[in-house]
Amino acid sequence: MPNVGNLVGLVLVSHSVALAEGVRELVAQLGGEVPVAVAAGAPDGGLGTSVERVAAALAEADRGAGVVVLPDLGSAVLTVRALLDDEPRPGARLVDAPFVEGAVAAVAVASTGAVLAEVVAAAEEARRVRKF
Amino acid sequence: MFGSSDGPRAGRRAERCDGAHGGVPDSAHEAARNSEHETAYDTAGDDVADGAACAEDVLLGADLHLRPAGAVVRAAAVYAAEVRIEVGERTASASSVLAVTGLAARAGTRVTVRGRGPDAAAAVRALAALLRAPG
Repeated sequence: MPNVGNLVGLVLVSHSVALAEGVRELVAQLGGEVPVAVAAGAPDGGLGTSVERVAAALAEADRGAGVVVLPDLGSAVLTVRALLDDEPRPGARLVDAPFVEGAVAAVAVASTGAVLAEVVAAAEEARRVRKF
Repeated sequence: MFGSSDGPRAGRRAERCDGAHGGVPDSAHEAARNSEHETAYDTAGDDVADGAACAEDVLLGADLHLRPAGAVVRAAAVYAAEVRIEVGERTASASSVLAVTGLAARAGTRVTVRGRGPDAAAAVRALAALLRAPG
């Protein structure tokens, strides 16, 4: 079921730039061409999240096939919801999944050309996969 | 404990994927059936009543870290067959990067690549070659 066009993207929404960049560095190991964007840190650069940074990351990662949005903790969810309530974006899917494992699973499946629903399912499935 | 009442196919012995046994032409039945078999998979036996199955043992050419696991997932996605990687008593879907890395398998480890489905032979050959390659 590959997309004929672009790959599904991933947005990492985190309170910490270092955390999100670290996850992006990790998923780059998987190879493939999946667009991964980071929306991390407060507007002043400290710990926190920002609507503006999420909006910019969505625009960066969504190449037309949709984008999975992965928050690190609950208040990042509030930021994403605030944005999507104001500016609905049908191709953006906020996913409840572990930050590291969800990102790895999403990027691996997205790199196969899977459609948005399949990438969402892979990220959500990460909740159930045991680490060892 | 694994009943071996099905003759030569039964048990954990791998059927080779070179076409001598249970193999099918690589693309012959590709369109025939795809998703009916997704969940039911018996790692103990080779009940092939519902589709071709075969397996191949390989020695891992590299540790199964994130990079090779990503390549495994992309390679498996090309085929309709369900492919699993077995290490001892553990088994992982080749389509799940978390399951594959969860095997924590080191270079030199003997693993079994087992496929089930219309293009199982081709899928297993491709995955086995990938896993055999040095990192």
